Amino acid sequence: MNSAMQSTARAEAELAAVARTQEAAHVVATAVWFPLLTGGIATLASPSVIDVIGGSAAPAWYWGIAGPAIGLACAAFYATRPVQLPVRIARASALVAVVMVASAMLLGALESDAAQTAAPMFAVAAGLTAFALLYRSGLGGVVAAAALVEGIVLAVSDSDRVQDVAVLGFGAVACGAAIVGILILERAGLRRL
Amino acid sequence: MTGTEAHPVNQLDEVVHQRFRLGVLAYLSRIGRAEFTVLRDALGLTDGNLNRHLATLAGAGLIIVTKPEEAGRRARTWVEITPGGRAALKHHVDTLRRLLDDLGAP
Repeated sequence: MNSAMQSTARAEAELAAVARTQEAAHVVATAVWFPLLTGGIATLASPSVIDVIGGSAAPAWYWGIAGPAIGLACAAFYATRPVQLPVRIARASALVAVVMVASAMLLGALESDAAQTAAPMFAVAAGLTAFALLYRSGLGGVVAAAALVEGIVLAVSDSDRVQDVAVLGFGAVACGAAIVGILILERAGLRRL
Repeated sequence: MTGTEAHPVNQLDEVVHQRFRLGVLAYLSRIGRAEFTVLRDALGLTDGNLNRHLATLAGAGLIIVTKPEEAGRRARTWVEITPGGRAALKHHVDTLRRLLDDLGAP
């Protein structure tokens, strides 16, 4: 009886160790904090920078540069990490990123003001949802939901102030999720980012 | 097969069942590949210890170790699991679960 209990405890401990190790590796490889932080910072900066650029085409200019820049920064980040995603995930991520940025830019070129403002966010929300599913990330899911909320607010509200609050709210959620992602990484005892 | 040979505990592969080698396979099973130093730090091993375990796993065809062609500060040694390694890990986990079922049976 005693040795059976010891065998049970050892087997359970071994299975738990395998699960913990797998999860830790997944957390390190996916490192969702980086894309969330870069996207969040770009979003928080957008109202001010767009004001400085000025003109009705300012959002298109800003996101036409920031979107691809974020994509390239994330690609470089993941390509140089000491723990890398499976190739199929990396390729799917690249495809999602290209489709998300391209569709957001195309939608931003629509004639209707309301559509021009809101439609790109729906493309971003769809892209972030795809990333959340690919990386099995709850944080990514939260940020995708926040993007959807921002898109809805932008679509229904005519108030510049309300729209600015929606944009800043999304940026804050993305940055907050990034900080949580870093803390999760730290708690896992993995300091190599 | 006798009762003793059929017992799950006797189906555990000694190559996989070692604590650190199991840790290597578990770590690699959810990712594409990892740098040698990441595995070393994650498992708390020395370079020599990890090299010995990796050699055992590679010899059994469970992992692939890719050393840099040229030495240098940025040269990295990569380790990735093979399909055989994934299957071995799955078999090990399934065997442990069967063992728990057996021990838990009235």
